[in-house]
Amino acid sequence: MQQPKYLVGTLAGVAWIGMFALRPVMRATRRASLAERFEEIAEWLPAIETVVALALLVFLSLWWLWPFGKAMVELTETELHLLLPAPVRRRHIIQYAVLRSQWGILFGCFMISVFSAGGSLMVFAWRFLSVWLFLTVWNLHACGRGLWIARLQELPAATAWGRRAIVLAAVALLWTTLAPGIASIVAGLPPLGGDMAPELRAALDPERLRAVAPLLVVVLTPARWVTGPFFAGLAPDTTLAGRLTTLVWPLLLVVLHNEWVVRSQTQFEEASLEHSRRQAASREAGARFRKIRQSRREATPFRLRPAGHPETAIVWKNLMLAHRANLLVIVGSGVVAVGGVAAVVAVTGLPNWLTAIMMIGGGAGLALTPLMAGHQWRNDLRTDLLRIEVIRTWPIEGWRLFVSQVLPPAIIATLYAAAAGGVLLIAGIAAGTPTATGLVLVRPELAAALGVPYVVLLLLGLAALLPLIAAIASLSATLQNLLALLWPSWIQLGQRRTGSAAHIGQGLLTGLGMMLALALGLLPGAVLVGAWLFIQIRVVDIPLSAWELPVLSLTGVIPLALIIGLLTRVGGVLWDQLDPSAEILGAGVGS
Amino acid sequence: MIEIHDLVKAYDGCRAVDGLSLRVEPGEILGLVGPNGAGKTTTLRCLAGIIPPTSGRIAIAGFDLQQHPIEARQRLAFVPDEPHLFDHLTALDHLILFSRLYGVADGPSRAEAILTDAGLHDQRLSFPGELSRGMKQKLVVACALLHRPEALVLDEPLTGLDPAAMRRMKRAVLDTAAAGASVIVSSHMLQLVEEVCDRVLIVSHGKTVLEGTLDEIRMQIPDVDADADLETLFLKATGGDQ
Repeated sequence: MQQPKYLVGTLAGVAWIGMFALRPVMRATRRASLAERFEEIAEWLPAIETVVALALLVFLSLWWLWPFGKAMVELTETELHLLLPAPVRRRHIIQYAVLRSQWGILFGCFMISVFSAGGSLMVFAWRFLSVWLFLTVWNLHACGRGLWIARLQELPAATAWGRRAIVLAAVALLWTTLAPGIASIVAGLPPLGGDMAPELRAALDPERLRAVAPLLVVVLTPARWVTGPFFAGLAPDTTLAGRLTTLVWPLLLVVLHNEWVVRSQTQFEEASLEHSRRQAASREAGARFRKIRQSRREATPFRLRPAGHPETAIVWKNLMLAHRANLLVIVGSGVVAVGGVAAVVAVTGLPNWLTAIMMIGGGAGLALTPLMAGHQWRNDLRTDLLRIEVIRTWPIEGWRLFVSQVLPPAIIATLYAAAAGGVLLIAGIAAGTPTATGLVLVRPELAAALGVPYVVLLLLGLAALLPLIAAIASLSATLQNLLALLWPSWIQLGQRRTGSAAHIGQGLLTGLGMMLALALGLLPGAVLVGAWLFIQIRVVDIPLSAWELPVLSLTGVIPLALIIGLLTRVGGVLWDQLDPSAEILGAGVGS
Repeated sequence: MIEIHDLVKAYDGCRAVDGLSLRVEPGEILGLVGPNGAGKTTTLRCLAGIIPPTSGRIAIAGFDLQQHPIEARQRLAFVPDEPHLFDHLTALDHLILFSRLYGVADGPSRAEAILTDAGLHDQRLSFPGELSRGMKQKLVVACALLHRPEALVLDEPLTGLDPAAMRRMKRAVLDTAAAGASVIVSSHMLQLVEEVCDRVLIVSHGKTVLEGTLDEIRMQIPDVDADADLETLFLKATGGDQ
């Protein structure tokens, strides 16, 4: 908290999270609807608990069959160099590593509990405790398994194979119990269609399972111990004493797992050192670029001539942080590929399941990619601030430099979103073929009402979405770069990596702030388009035509473009006035 | 020409640079020396436009850095103490980038020539992660000299270089000055400063302690030999000999 602006940011973020977490308390009607929803969920709890326990057991059994694992005593190289020669017992070093991993777990529990507690302190406390128990057992189990597998490498081959055989036998025994039980559950499942809920609940009901597959119920018990406190917290009729009873077994599992881990005889030192070195190497800037083949190193997104606007050079540079492939080739081959596949699909159709997957994937990509502009590649100020001693000396006006930082992530995000749009278009065409059943992207009647064929409506819809996507991606990139200038200490500079709890929290605050700003930025365009439609349809009484869609989209984009223009000017002023001495140069984030 | 007048840079009330003034004529090389924390790097960062000064005036080739930042930066090249390069750009990419940024008309041919001169032609398609420290430093200097700057500022230019690279770096500094540029070299390597610089500015606690040619400095310090080297003069001037 070096400067007052961080206090302001923290207060705003905490208020935002607080409003989110306490909203149900403040709104009585919502509380009532939540209660109704919980009642509905409560009916399903025994069935869900069974499924979760079963899934856990299936996963764990397969996990133990997987022959690879690491001695996961995660310590940094510095910690290893300090702790290993120190007069400390090795079990204490392992215990330290285990406790160290608790920071991430505690933070995760806190966030899950805050967002799911609905403002109730009691619910928060129980949720925190139950999630902590689950994650801690899971973490210790993973750690113990990793050490066990690493230990096999150290043992004589015969002994190691003997231990592997024991595990194999245990897993086989487990599956001889699981398989008939799963078969009896499947046999009890209702046929697809109609109101399946009561029969589905009955098929997974623990009482029924106790009768038809008693061994399965016994085998599921340890998994139920781990998830028990969580489900006890969800069940409305569980008494406090009943809840407290569910804590006994998972706590015992934590203690037993902890003893198993800290008493491990595995020589974790070398493996941990190697692991920490590998992690450091993968974090090292530029590691991934060294893998680029020599023949690909002369490829660039576009040819950069020596004369022209200098900011184009920054766009060129930052595009290459994501890809070196030529932009025109990418766009051209993308259009040809989508066009070709769409033409084939229009004739042959696609299996329903594939169409459904493409619809979901394409829709999600189209909606989310622009919002996440630059988040993956960070090809903007978030990387360039690390080279501030270079870029501050460049002869470019502040706002031009800011624009050149915003454009590359926006371009990349738009290209990815356009590819997702292509997938959605193909799925839409497949859904319109006679072989498709029950899948609808756009109703054919809508196309008829708008006066165009079905495929033309799909194409016009995509054409209308693209400018909007480009504008949203630009706004998202603009906001993220503004955040980097305003709160550089809260933004992970350089390539993204697993952050500390503090970084995750800061990311959450800035992310929430950004979502709010995005919503506000999109509002004027939405109002403008809404007004247009209202006047056209309700006042002037002219029916909407499909050909208007791209024009409507451009109308919605105009206010957005003005906002982006204004924000880039603000970004330029911030850049010109930036004093990086304390937070970027002095704080060492730039080194 | 490089001019600094009454430069002040304060952090949290502490003055890292406290009223420093200097002037470097075209073709002249000024050595900036001082103990750790004297304010050398802060001065150079203000001069390069990286950090804004608290007060004072900086001009590069007659252009005020505050009033005409683009024109001033267009004529300046700054080589920081660490070779900051872009991890995803090859050596050749760096020079293409700088050609466009500074509008170097003969950029491509000059880039090839400058890579050859720096002995980096075989590494033209190498990423910084594949270059040694010395090669990185050479590439940074190549980028700096690409646009034929009128003012060159170097912060600890010899750090991490082998003897051959040091010699090449000294040659590059002397050639740049000979071509008419004003040069400032900040270094703890006093032999380098003594060898290449026309004048020396000794700073301590953000203030000028002594300034002039070696002979002029010798005359300003009592009780020193007539042939005292810069190291002796520096230690006397900054109290480091006590």
